[in-house]
Amino acid sequence: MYKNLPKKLDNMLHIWSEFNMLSLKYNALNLAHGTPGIDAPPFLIENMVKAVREGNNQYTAVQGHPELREALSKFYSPRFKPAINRDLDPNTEILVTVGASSALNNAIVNLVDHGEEILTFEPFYPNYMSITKLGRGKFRTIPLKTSPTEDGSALNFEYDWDTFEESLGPQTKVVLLTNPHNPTGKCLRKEEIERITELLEEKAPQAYVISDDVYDFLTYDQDYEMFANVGDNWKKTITIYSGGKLMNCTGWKVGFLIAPPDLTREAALMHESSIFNLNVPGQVAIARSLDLLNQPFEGYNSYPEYVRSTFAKSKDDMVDIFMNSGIPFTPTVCEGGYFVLLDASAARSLIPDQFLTPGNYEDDKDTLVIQREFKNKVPLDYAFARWFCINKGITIMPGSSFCIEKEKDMIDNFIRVAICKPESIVQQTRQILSQ
Amino acid sequence: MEGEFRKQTKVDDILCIWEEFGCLVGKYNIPSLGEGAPHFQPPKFLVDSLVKAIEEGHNQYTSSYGHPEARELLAELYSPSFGKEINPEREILISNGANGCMTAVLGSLIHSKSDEIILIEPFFPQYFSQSQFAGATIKTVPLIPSDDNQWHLDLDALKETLNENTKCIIMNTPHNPTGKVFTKEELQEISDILEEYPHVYVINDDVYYFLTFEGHEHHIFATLGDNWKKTITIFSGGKILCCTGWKVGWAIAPADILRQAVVFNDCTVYCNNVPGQLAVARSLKVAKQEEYKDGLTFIEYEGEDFKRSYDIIFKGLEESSLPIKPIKASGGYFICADVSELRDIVPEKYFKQQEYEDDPDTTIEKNDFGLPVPLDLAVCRWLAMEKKVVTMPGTFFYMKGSKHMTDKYIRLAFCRGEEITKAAMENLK
Repeated sequence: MYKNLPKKLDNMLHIWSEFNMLSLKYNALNLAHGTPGIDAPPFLIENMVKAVREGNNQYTAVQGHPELREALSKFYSPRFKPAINRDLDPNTEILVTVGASSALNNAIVNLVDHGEEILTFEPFYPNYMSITKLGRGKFRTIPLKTSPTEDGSALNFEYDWDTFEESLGPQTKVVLLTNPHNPTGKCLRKEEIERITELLEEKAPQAYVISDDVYDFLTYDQDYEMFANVGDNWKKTITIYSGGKLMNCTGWKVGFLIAPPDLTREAALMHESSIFNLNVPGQVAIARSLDLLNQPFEGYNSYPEYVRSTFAKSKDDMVDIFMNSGIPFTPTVCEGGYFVLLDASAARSLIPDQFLTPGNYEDDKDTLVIQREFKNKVPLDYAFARWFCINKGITIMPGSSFCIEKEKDMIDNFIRVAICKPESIVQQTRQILSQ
Repeated sequence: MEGEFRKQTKVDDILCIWEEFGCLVGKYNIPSLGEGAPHFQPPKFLVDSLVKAIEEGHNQYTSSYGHPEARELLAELYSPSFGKEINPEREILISNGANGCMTAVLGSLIHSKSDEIILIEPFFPQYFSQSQFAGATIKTVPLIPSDDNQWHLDLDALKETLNENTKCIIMNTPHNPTGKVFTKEELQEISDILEEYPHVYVINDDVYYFLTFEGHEHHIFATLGDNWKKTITIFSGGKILCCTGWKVGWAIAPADILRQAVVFNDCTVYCNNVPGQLAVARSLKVAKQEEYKDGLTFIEYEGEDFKRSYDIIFKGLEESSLPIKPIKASGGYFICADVSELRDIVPEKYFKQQEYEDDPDTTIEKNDFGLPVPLDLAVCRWLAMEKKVVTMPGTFFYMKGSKHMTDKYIRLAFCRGEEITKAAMENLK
């Protein structure tokens, strides 16, 4: 065992690995991981095969294949028009990255320095914290508040504006938005964007904004509103999209970063130093498929509409199924994205003691599953998720894995269910939970 | 996780290192011996394998270690070379090219600015960027041509540079840009020196390992003595199978070292080109063992093609009226040549200013290494514009301000195919 290895980053792999391992071991239905259940569309696959056979197999420009950057300019310019009143410059305002993860990495690592803060809302996508640590920045969160809906049947997520305002200051370097939000699905309203804009101008005018908009096309009953094209925000905003999410090819890892030239250039330098190039035939295939996204698909107006409608229905059906499972869940209002949160706190009495007490919770005393250890108290959502997987045969994620861990203070009510699945998976869920 | 160190916020802006000459090639249609892009297309068996992987539905996320099936296949293939059973679960990382592996490894090894990385000069410029990105202090040790017209590592410089702050050394064999293949004896000498600094990790960039000329064998540093426990060896699917744009590379190392690299990989890219990983892993055995053309395997076929181009370049330079002196290479993609005798031949304008094109509206960004323009950069620009051959200046492969910096060398690629190579050498007559 080599001794002097630095532990720079918290090992976040365990967040996923415990539940993925449990899921495999107990042959459970995996609704934990955010893997879309629809495959890439035929036109994309055709374009990929063509791109490879045509010879697009060696390095391309560091900033991304020119054909893709042109196509991205064409595709995204309309939505940025209110901000810049012209088309996006494919040479200076677009960067192609190894998925949105890599775009986030390039943007954050460049922007934050020792002691500078990134502010985001909690719960959050766990990699935000790792990336901030990598950039030697300070990670700070504002927990979202919940309140019952008018009819009391569900919970809404809300911004805690007072705490947000108090947290802003000269130390704030980046405000990181996820829109629609993972894991709550909350979509930014125009008024909320305006409020954030005002607060930033007042309390942290030096701060940049990174908007992680990978689920932009997956809004349910809400419109997608952009941060970058309100007021003067363009100058200080980096917007990130995902080709993998848009076209259900998450494993191809092609993401897009759109920002003014100075911010894009800096991200490109990070990219050049750490990545250099990526999936060239994939870039070309996506470039040629962006146009086709506007054409009718499987009876829907467009491919994104097909995906959105499928997931919207799955979301509604899944929530129904969970609500009728005999377990006392309270649903939350999910406005977009891949996931829905459910409050499972009323189910405590259903969970056997072995899951609620620290230590090995499986019957298998020699388990190889890497169980996250809790010293004093097992958070309720972890206990629930573990029990639910082993005893009920469905794997979901504990909501507190998306929060900063402080064992005694943890908000541990919520479980996260992936709803980015087709009808067939919904059916399986129904079958399993009706037993 | 905050220490006392100061973070390196930015990396040097070296985007135009590749872009300047790359853009000239396209704009003026110049035969290029510049960029290290193999002229081969990926073989049909690889392309078919990719299509199969996509049609089988391998289009979503995989483990941050890399696709499990791909890792199994790689472990099986490489275990014999390492003389041990490689654990596919823990001792292999597949990332975004060899580059991605290097980034992940460096990122996990370097903790603060006081950590030092030793690079062997001249080096593949990416190492410098990656070392900056990781936040390390960079030190260099030179290769120097000897009387035998081959490059040799300055072992005294290595001994002087190693110290308690050295975190790792990056080695590269076959070497870019010189084409040197380190002999077993040379690797053993380095290994012996490193014995006195047991805390130093060794990263071996072996991306060209399959391309050595006859009589020059490739040796894996990790197999010498007990080097395994401190060594990371990196390979490139893009180079082996001529699909550099697919960006599939892998690192083989002990579990504890790799674990940290995977945590880093998870944070930076999460995973990459999943169907590509599978296609590459599934095709390596065929590339290595089955006949591709003319009784040769694919790997042998590309090796012989590159060797033919190397011979054309070497002979061509020796016979050229221009005093460009090639220094022997033993493998890889590249050869360096000494251009010190061209100082009086290259017109003044190439030394006096950065701009050398006749196009006032040019959008090609020019590198700026100060004035007068270093000899090798001036030579490369002159060769491109007036002799119609693109080559790369050696200056790009040295650290700015390095005490070993020299402007004597240019780099030529012999992976470009006979047609381009012959055309280029015609122009250098």
